[in-house]
Amino acid sequence: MKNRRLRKSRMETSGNSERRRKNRRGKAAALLTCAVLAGTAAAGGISAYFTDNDTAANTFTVGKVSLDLEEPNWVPPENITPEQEMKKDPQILNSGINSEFVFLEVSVPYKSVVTANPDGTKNPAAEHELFTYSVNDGWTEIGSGLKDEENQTVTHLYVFGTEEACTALKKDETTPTLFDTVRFINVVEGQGLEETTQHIVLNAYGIQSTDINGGTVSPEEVWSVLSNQLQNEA
Amino acid sequence: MYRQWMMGVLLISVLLCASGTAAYAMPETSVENNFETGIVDISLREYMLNENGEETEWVDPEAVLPGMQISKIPRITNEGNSCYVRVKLEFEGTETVDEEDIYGMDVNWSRAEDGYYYYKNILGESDSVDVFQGIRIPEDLSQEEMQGQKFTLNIDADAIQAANFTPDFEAAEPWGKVEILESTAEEGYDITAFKRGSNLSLEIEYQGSAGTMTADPDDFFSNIPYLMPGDEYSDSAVMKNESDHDMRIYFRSELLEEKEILDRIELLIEADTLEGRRTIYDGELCGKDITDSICLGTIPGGGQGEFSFAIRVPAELDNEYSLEAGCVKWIFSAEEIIREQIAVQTGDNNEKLGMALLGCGCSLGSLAALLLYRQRKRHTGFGKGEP
Repeated sequence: MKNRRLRKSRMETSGNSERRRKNRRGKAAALLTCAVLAGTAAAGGISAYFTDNDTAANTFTVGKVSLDLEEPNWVPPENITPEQEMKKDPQILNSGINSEFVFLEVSVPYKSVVTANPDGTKNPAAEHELFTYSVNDGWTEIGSGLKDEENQTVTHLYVFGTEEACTALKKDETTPTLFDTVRFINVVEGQGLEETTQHIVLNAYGIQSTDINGGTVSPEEVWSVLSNQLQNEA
Repeated sequence: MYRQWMMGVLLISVLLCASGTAAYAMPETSVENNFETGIVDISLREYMLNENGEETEWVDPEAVLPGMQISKIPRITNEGNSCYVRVKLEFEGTETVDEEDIYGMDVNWSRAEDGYYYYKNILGESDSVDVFQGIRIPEDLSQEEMQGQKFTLNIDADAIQAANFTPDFEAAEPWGKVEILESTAEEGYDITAFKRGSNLSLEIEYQGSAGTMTADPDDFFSNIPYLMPGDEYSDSAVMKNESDHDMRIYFRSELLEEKEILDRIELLIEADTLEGRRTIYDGELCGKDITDSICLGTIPGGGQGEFSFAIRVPAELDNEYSLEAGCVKWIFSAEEIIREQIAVQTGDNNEKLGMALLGCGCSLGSLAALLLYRQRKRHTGFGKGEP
């Protein structure tokens, strides 16, 4: 097929056609101009052409990280005596939507006291945490406790998991108890503890279990991110 | 006897009429020119990679968290004719997640000042292009503000024909001011069945001795592919006179079906004959002004001329005219010019002879019929009479 433009030529028809031909030539010239403009993006005016449109709307729901610290069997005791064992069973419930890594901080008061042995012999005065407990499986201590001399407490940090990896706690799941009882140490009377109130402070923390620093599960690293964030928020 | 004589006269008059008509008729041939328009039609579908790295259909995530990398692959597929595409990405309900959190966008996407991402390459028929590969949720997404809340990402994809359209990717608005409409496509058309142009030679031939005309092929738009706004195509047919005498060739157009698109496409016809090259018609393809025969010119015996035409599709046509089909019939007829030395020749020789024969035939026939009628009336009216 040939694609050359037709050449305009002399006209040999009657007058009416002549006038119409002139009008059409003007129109053809205008049309040619339009054709040239059509080949480039229009500077003014709105062009038509064949077009189409399609859309998509996506909804992203943001997750939720939330936890509850529970002690189902804890009843604050009164008038405790040395070596008394009390039920205290802290556990963490994932009350959010997303899986989370959880930590428990236990702050125990300490004092320089004289303690007695089972056979009744006395030990020299030394700093002791006033309460002891046995950590259950599933929990691991990170470090060996931070001493706060001003408040006379030692804070222990435990991760739900192992030394190498945190264990993800899924939605609606509860961790095993960190411990089930605490025991008041066998302190000798007359140390200044009578009629005092002692506190064990528990703090539970949680953070999303995925996508931390590209997906780390290391307890030290996760705790580092979490504690930084807590400091920034404080 | 009288009756038989009158019947003879009637017979002669019929023969005269017939011969007059025969001298008056011209051989003719016709072509039916079919055309169709194209379409711009895209689909936007979304996919994602699952845990195994396999592509699956996109599902809105339910619990996104800071730092999360979400696989998301919006894909534009071209269902129609070649086109350019662009997209706009809009986040709603969040100040923190924005376009910068999108990853995996091909280098051929570029963001213009008007806020659209323009794909620089033409998307051919049945081609696809991915807009991006995913979204990384920022680590500073506020828990207080966003926990349990929703935000949305709206993707708006546009397409425009690639034919006769050239974006300026350096401009603030690479496509200029264009009106984007949804395509009129319904399900079920086959893009591979769209009309493609051939490479045939067009010809009109007058076979003098047989007194016939032929046109080949039977569709003079055979070499014209599907049409898009802004398209211009021209072609020409050789007009051959195989007789020993000069002939005049005539042309007229016939509309087979009224269609608005036939009023929008423009047609230019020129003829190159013994009288020179001249414009025959310049108007709408429907050809309402050329339904009566127009003389294209004279072609000498054994010689040839040229019939040329061009069609132009206005760039202003919008989707209303996509996926349209139409047809226009062109009829060519020939009149052989037989010149005798002694007779005064005019161009209408054949026509005048035909008229004369017809006139004689009609007159004789009318006279014979009248006489016959009167004769019959006399016979029946008085009960006696002679043949």
